[in-house]
Amino acid sequence: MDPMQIAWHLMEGTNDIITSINKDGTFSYVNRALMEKLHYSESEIDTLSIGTIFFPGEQKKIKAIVTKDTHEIISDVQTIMVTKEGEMLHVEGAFSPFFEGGKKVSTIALFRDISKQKKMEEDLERERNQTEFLIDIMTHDLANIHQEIISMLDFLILNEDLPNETVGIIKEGISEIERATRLISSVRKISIVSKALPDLQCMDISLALLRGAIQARLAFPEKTLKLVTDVEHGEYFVVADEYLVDIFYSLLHNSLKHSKKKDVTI
Amino acid sequence: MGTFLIVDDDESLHKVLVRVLKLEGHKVVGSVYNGSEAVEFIRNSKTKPDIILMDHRMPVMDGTTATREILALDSTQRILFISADETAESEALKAGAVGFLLKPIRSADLFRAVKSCLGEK
Repeated sequence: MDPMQIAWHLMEGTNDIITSINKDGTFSYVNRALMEKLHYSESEIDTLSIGTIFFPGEQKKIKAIVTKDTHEIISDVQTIMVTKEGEMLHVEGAFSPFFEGGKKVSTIALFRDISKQKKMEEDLERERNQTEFLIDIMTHDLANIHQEIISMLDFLILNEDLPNETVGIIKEGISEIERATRLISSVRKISIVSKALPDLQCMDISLALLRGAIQARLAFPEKTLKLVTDVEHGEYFVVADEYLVDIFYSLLHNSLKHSKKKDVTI
Repeated sequence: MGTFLIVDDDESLHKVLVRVLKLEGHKVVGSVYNGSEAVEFIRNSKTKPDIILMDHRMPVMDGTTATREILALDSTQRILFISADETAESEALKAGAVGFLLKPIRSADLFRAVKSCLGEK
């Protein structure tokens, strides 16, 4: 088979849009995919130009590429085409200059339809924003409610006539509210972690362990915690973010929670 | 003893804070519900508070923006943040807040922070 015929079949058989764009913005060739995706008929090909098939805000960018006298292939260009009826089609393309007698005569452009990918990205972004919004509301409003309950319980504790047993129960209540607050804070942190790069820093593993232990100890005021470790302060450093403390807190919290002993040694 | 302006969009929290502050003999001279109202209070009121207790996330104007505007009007104001949003801490301190307390706070922690603020003034 003639290589030219093979090339022709490839260009006409593909679902990607292939065009040859003249310097004046008209087309010397458009393939079947372009006509199908933008809903034009063969009789309309001569009426097409950059001004008719590209979104108005994108036309300047495309004109700049096709008029630039360069041998360079320009790839990964995201742009927007419009169908005959005015619907947008997101595409990603590569532009290859075509020279004759040392002069650039046209630009061969190949575009891949990325509308579905774009829509998925937009849907995902919308869902993320919605989730973040709901988490923000939950964090804000529940923190206020917890603040009010804790302050009220603080008031009750100030009453010197209260029996010790009642004071103990109130303190347990405060501790549970603080636990709920930490849970909410963790949910918020997870939502932030999933969308942002971690803020890494050099951390002393002994200090992170100690901070986690202090937090875990506060969650169980009725228990004692003896932490035995051969890791000395200033001995080991790791590259981590602030969640390293949360990891130690969670490990120690689980140990304290599930130990049946009052005096827990870890 | 100090005088306070409470800036928070949660009405119930105002009542709680008034009660807590009374315990130590403090007086609340104003209660507003967003940053913009706080700025107007400082601009128009003859009785300036010793400390402004400021929330961060509020409608109309957030606490950090309000802090910048208040300090531009009166740089002697002491603004103490009480917020549930720990990510706002550095922004609040950069804006000129004297302290940041993460909700929910224990009354003893609030009193300590207030004492420290009043001592600075």
